[in-house]
Amino acid sequence: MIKYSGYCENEGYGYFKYIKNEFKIEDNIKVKNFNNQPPIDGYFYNIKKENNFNKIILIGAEKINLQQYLDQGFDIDHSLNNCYYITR
Amino acid sequence: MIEILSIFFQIFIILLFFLGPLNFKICKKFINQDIYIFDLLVFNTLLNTTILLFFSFYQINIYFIYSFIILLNLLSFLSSLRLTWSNFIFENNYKIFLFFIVCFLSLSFLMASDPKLTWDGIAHWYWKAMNYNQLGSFENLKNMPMAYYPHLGSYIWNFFWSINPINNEYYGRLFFIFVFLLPFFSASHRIKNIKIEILVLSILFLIFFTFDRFLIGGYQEYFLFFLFYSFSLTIFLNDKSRNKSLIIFSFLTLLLMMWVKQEGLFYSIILTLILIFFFKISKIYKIAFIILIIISIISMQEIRTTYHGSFSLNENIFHQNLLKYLDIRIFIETFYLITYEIFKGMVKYPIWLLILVLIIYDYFKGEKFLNLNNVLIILYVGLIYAIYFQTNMDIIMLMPLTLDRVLIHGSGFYLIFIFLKLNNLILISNK
Repeated sequence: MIKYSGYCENEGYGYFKYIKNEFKIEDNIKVKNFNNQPPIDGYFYNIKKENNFNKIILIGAEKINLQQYLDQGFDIDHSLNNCYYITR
Repeated sequence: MIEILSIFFQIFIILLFFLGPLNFKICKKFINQDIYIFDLLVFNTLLNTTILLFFSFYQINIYFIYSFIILLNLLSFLSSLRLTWSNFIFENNYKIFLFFIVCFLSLSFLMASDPKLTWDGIAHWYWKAMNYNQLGSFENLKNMPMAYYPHLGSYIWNFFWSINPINNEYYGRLFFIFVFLLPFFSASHRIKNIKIEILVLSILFLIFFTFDRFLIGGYQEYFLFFLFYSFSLTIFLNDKSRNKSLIIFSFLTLLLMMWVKQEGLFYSIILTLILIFFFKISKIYKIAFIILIIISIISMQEIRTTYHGSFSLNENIFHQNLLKYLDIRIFIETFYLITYEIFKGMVKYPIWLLILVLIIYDYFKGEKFLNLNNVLIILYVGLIYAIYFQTNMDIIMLMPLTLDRVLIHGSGFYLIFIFLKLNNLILISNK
């Protein structure tokens, strides 16, 4: 899937998977894609788990996009190029 | 290697499911004329997808559903073994069937080479399939994005995804390749006395003119394409035999359309008008058909309101922004933009150019203007204009992303017409 959907580019499938494993995220988190690509959170969604709106993955975010989330009280937990994992 | 074998197995699973329970013997009694193997597949696909629609509202084990249908299919197959075999070996039928399998395999391998879901596939339709894959109920769809979108295509996607023990997502999407290919092969039966090579080439050309790899990434367009074709097949067979039983399949087609995509609701209305004008049947049956369609629409509305809290379309049909068209300049500009996008879509899917050329040719050959093909094209294109005039969204952004896909649906209706014209052309050139 990383071959077709990218790591930190396109849909950012690889980065999403990495963060989910690295931070042992069990609940459903949102992904916001700024690369003009569809969000891929559906691939990792579990209908029996809760939605957690306090953890977000940003793919292809410019500084201005990131700042909007920081202003809402989010902190950066991990970043790679223009991909971010933010929580509050 | 395992992947290749699994694709073969998956194609077998799909074909086995749709080969029955109607057999040649039943169809001959029911439809009152000889039909061909791909016509039989079309009718069985309509019937079995309707059964799946019914089961999609309940949490019933899919292995039970599959086994139940397969048992029926086998019983039915065994009871008409001789007739099925004689039909299979009649003329070039078995060669065409083998060619169908080759096409099915080729497109399946193409999908396997890049199984990525495309825009609406991952953003909307996958969520519903995933809900069913994780044993979620019809009611739980209200928690998925775009909950107001119909679910049937996604349910069938999951059905064939989950039925395979390997549980690979894209195996479910092979169903969309199946329903994409079926109309070409069923329509090709309308050509008589033709060399197999020419028939194969014409099928290939038409597939080439219609196929878009993007649309097998989870979109529902080819399902609607198939349903338009199925409706045209019932009209065509009714025209030949005046058999009233065919109206049942016309009804199933329109019922399924409503549950595939939102546009399906409007398609079922314009196709009901087509049926009223062109289906050769008594008035009482037509009135019964209209009543059934109205009941189906109300039932759909009620079911979705009960389970999902509301029944809504993308946006309200009437809104204040529509008043802007009182300004004639805005009206003409919008009309021009939509027309431009329609022509762009027709160039993208050249099957429409072929349809237009044949319709114009027919007109100059003295065919009356208000015939079946022209009335549908007027209603269909009229609906496209209405959709984009009505929307509150920015059509300059929206149309390049969506309008060409809308055109794909209706092209299915004209496949029989194209093959009949090709048949005439061959007959003329043989003289």
